[in-house]
Amino acid sequence: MKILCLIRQVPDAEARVKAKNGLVDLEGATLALDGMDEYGVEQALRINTDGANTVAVALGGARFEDAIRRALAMGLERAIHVESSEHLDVVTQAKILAKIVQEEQPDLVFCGGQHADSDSQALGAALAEALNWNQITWTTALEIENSSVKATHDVDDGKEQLELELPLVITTQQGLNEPRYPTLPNIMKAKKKEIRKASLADYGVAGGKVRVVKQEIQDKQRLNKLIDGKDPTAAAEELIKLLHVEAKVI
Amino acid sequence: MTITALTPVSRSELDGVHLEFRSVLRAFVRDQVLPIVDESEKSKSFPKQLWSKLAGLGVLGIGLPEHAGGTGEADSVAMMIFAEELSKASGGIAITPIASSYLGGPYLAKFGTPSQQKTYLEPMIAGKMVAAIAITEPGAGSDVAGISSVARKVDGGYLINGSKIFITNGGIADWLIVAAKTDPAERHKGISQFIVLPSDAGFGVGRPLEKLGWHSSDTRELRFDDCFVPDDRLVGEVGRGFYQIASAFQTERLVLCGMALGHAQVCLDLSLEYAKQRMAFGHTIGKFQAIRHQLAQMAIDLKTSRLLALDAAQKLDANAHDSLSVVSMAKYHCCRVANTIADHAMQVFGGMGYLEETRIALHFRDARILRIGGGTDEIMLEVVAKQMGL
Ligand SMILES: Cc1cc2nc3c(=O)[nH]c(=O)nc-3n(C[C@H](O)[C@H](O)[C@H](O)COP(=O)(O)OP(=O)(O)OC[C@H]3O[C@@H](n4cnc5c(N)ncnc54)[C@H](O)[C@@H]3O)c2cc1C
Repeated sequence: MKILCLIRQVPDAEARVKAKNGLVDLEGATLALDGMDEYGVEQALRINTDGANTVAVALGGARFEDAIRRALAMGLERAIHVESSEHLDVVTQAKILAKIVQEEQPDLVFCGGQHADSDSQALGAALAEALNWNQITWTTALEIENSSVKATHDVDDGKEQLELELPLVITTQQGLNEPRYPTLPNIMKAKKKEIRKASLADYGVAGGKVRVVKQEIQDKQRLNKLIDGKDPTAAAEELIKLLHVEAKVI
Repeated sequence: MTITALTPVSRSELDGVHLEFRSVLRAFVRDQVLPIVDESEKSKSFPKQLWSKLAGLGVLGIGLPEHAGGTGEADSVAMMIFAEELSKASGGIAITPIASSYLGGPYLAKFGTPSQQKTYLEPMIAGKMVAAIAITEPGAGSDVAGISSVARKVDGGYLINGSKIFITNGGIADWLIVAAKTDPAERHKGISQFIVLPSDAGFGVGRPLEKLGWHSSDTRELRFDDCFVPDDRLVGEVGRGFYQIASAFQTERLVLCGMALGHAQVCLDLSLEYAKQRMAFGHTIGKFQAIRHQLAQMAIDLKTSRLLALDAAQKLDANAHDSLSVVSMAKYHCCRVANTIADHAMQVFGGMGYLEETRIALHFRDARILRIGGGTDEIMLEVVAKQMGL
């Protein structure tokens, strides 16, 4: 089976993000392969355990190469990198990615369930739409037999079991698997794996349909909540309630 | 928004493979090691569940032979990165696999027979066996040639008599490389090394030694009373033990540099963060010259340590003519700096630094052994001076 894994690079969960001239400035921030995409890479490697016929596909700036190398070090066979540091809306991204899918003819495309940076969940759906393929979103369990896919998908109050035929776009969710750490020898091997570079022009795209006008960092304000301490029991109860219900720390 | 690729601009920076390796290790340490440090320090034992995970990462065989499951080519930089990232969590946890793979492992990698490598090295790299290296004795530490344990040749093997002290992993090892005199009349030329198994008759392990730091690491006294070791467990050549030790020491010293960098880096990172938010007299303490200069000094000391260690690692791997001297310089400098930085960090943190919860205390006590183990500061200076023709 041939599998494509869409991957993105995002600021590391602990990275401090700054804004400069009204836009988020990632220069110097630690970037990492999006954790949601890691589930897809891991799942691809559980299906094709030797990594054969698994391709990472990335659409983003030059530094995306670090994320691509990580996916290759985990075990994917090769990568395609459409290099562009422009902001591209999801529909435009899907248009480009759909062309890559048509070139590569995979049976399955994995896509992160939600982008760690923008919180968008739209890419998988937009790609399925552009391809006119079926999709399974928020997948927490997956079984494939011949061309039939059984998947468990999270819904608000429970789970849903789905059974669909390939080809499919599958978006991931935490719980799908436990992604592996790349080993040192595999990191070395990844250095030699093929990354095919392409540009937006190769896919007949000049730019996105959405322009980012301004981004700013949200300042966290202190709540400065004061509890009246005259009645210690009531004060303690109020404190516990605030910590439990509002702050959700206990 | 333009983002440029992080390409090294100086040869003293890590290359892509090492940066990637470091970032994998950071995630591993954050997710798998840091959460169990407290428990391991309190129970004074190494968390056994880490062995298979470390083996899975391939970090028990860096630079060890490929046919035994290692990465093959010497890669002292990778080995130091491993030591650094693990030491950021705990020196005691770090030294346990390090003593096994990088203090014990090199003997069998360099001098072991194919059968010894298959029986002992391969399972060690796979995380199924733990190794230890036993040189130091109650009567001889720095003076390796002065050891008095004896291995007397008998039919089919050797009978070892004597004792060892301070042996890391001594109580948890599945095999130990033990140095003993096959010719007690000789000093440097009289030493040989043997693989001893805990099941060997005549081999005894003392109780765990209580230490200032390295609480997660097992340290023991060992006894040998007519302990019989068959001929096929001789490591390398008879009478070449001292030279084998001298050669393996270079790897050990570099890996200790890595550990020192870990303690130093974490102490600096924590101190910097603290100095930016701790208020006193209406200012963050980082605004006081006394504190900011201390932090600047820490950063400079750490940078010089890093540069020296990286230089030493590359020189050792390239077998450069001055590697002995540079490795000794690096061991001396990095390990001293780790202690100075840990001390400054304690000062920057004030009372909080003295508490277990900030972790400064752990790094403060774990860093201290680095100026003693693997060759003391004084011995490092002796090596450097000797290389200067003195
Ligand atoms: C926690 C821990 C773990 C250890 N793990 C191991 C292990 O796994 N295997 C192992 O074999 N050993 C191990 N050691 C032993 C360690 O390597 C020795 O402690 C170290 O080499 C110093 O030897 P010593 O303690 O006998 O000190 P000594 O050699 O007695 O030195 C005492 C002092 O005299 C100084 N001195 C000695 N000779 C000279 C000289 N020529 N010129 C100037 N000054 C000199 C030393 O620098 C030191 O300051 C460990 C020690 C500790 C504490």
